[in-house]
Amino acid sequence: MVRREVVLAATREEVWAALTRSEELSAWFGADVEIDPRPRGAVTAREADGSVRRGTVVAANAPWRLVVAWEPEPGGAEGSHVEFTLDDVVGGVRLTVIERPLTPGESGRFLQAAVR
Amino acid sequence: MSPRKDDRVDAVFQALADPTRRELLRRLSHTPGTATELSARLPITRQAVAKHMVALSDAGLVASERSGREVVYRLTPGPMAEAAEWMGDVGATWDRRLENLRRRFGR
Repeated sequence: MVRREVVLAATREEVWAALTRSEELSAWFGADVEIDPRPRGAVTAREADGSVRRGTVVAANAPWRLVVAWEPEPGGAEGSHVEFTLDDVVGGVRLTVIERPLTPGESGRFLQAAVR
Repeated sequence: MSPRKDDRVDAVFQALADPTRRELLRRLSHTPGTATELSARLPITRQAVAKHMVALSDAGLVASERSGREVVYRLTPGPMAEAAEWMGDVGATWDRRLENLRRRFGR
């Protein structure tokens, strides 16, 4: 599991927009990202090397919590679960990111869906 | 079929989440041992040790070998390195992204 925190000089609405608007997200994520910020909405990230990662929005509670699951790719990138949480703190908003590998059950659901 | 790499990384994290299993791994990192030997130095039963060893074996963190009537467990650290590599890669990526985001909000 990886956990990171950053305090941003912004409002929660601004940070939420940076997470859930495709063009804003793409500006800092390091990939060209498209996101449909609703539960079961699609997420795709095109990396500079041309590879594409696909994911699904698991939860979107504006403007404080966003959860995305990245699909495992057969023989490629690992599946993971990413949770963003926003809290008001002195000086702005604390953004906490927790990323962990998918459990075998979560991973299996994605792989099954891909077969159908 | 070998388990997927991400499933293995997840299994390592699950296995390491338990303090007793971490203690058992610490002991096995010094020397291989049987459930009887390991339980003698810990406040848990031989059966409890054997049960934890199943979780650790599933995560690929220990290997077992029969020796007479006992089973000897030894540490197999490969999957631990894999999990550490995952954390290193993912952590470095988030450090980069969050630095971009911090700059975006002008600090």
